[in-house]
Amino acid sequence: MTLTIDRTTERPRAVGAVGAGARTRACDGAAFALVLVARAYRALLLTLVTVALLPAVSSWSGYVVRTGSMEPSIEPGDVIVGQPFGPDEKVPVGRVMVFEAPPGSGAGPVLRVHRVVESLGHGRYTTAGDANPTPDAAPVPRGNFRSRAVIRVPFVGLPLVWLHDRRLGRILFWLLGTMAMLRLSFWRVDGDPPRRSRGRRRALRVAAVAGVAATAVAGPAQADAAFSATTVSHANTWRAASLIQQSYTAAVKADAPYAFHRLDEASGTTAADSAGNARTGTYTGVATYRQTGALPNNPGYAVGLSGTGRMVAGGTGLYDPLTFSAELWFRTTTTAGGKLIGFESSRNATSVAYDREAFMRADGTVVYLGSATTKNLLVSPTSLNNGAWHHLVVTSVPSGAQELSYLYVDGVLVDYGATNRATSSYTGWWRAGYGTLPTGNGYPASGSFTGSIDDVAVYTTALSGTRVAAHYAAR
Amino acid sequence: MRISALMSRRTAVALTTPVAVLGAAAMVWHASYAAFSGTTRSSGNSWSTGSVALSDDDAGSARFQATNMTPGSTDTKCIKVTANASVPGIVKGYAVNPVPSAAGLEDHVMVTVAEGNGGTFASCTGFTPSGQNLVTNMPLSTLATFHDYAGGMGGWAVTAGTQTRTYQVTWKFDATGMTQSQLDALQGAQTGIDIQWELQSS
Repeated sequence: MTLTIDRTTERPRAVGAVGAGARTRACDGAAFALVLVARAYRALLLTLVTVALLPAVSSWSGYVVRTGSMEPSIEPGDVIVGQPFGPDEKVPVGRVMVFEAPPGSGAGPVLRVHRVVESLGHGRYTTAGDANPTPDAAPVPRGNFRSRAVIRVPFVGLPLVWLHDRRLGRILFWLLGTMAMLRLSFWRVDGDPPRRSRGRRRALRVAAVAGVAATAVAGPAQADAAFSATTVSHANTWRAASLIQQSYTAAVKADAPYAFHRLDEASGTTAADSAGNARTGTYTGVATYRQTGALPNNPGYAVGLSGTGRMVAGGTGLYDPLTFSAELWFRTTTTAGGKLIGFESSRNATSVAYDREAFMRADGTVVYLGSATTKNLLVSPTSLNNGAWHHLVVTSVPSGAQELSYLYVDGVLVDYGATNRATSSYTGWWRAGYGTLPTGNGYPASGSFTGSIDDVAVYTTALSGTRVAAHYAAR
Repeated sequence: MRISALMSRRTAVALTTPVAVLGAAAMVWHASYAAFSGTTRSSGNSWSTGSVALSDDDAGSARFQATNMTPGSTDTKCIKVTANASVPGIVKGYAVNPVPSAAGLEDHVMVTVAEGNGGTFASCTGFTPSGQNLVTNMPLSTLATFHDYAGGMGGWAVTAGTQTRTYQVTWKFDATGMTQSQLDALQGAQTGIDIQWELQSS
């Protein structure tokens, strides 16, 4: 065995012998290969890290992707480097972009890397993860796009992903493995150029460690590639009936009124006809609109009257009704009495002809009078000026030379009998509130009614007691 | 050691780092090109390490098609949602595509949604709620303001695997306090809405 000086390494080497020398060569060969592998790993790692950290020294941006909704294009652990995306640039449909995701259930803004699949117009875009079954549910506005994904650096972000997922085993394995590899890579082997200065080698080592550390510390931002899916129950519709009636409306309309005025208006001189015949009524001198309505279960409004205030039922006038019903609700505390509802020859404040009238006396009782006479009156047994709402219906049918009339208060018959027929035949109007009354004993001093009225209805038929009770029950 | 062996070792050592660097660069280049040169989504579920899917059992038909509603009309129906997930996530529901009516009918159709198990699109028999209602007596107009995942109702946490949950939806036409003329304005009015569930991985 000869001893030679190896000029390249300046180390003595044993050469030539088979036995010990062969074994040394084999081990030497294995060690050599291992060191080269370590150096290759070091170079690979540093190159990838450099590319991944490129954004730190430029205006580009880097993002670590943690989740897999963009597979197979982007795997978890990849670092995406994005080209800055300016405000004047057009959003490229079909390309992968990094953008601020519309608010989700997490806290704070989230950066997402997904593919833009459609422009919705008005600066909004649909995005989708390649591995998601459906596109992202919420569209992304133009202003949310941050950068355009251009470079994908595989694997480099895996330690960060493991750190986030708390996979300590993997982190430890990778850390120890990398440290071992780095250490190994600095071993000297045959074929290395002459020793460089110590400083340079140290600088190289420091750079290697720093590079690896940089990925962990000054690392890229996180970009989310969240999985999402949607399902929808669509085209649910709701349609209201073509006729919707309150219970009181339905009860009254079932008896085909000539005119039916709810008195729900906020103002003005017209009172709508809810019977459907467009016989619009007329308000004159109304003191207050939209007072609280009379009907507890049928929301609506009443009007307040005083002085010459009145509501004249609609239509072109009725000629000499001998069969009729007149219905209204009233509330008052007046002690002066007043006209409640009656038939008159005009719509003016006073009329030449007036009869078929229900009025309140000063004592609060309600009287029905067929025509001006002190006989054949129907009278309520109790006074009704107690400030509560009362339902009042008068019905009348011809009976011989007279009328047979019925007086109902609050759905109950309180008096009935023969009443006088009108003394003249004329065309006139049913009207509630102020009107003309006979003068003299037993009549209020004035036809003026101070109180509230509501839901006035007039009929050309005589309602039965059952129907009157049904109206009252439907209030 | 022979000179030729030494020379090949020298070559190997000298080339290791540059070749590795080039290899890394090539890997990055190839990965970037493969990832970002395309413009279409792959049908890629089969490649992904994780996936989520959400479906319901309505077979595409509408859950509610209510007609001729009068005050007090009401109905209750169920819909079963199935989540297939390989990663954990949360399912929330919200309303999309509201169809307003000129008369504001959507202010008077009140919706109650309960979450639970049992029952299907065909029948609610066997439905058992799993807690408080998600919404109670909410007008469709208000429901429409919860129109994205962030504002969605519920919060059904799904784990990896297949899970189902049933949502029971009750609607009622509530005309409380409406005057006859307001009701007249609603006659024949129509409104609509879609209900969407979304699963996002957490």
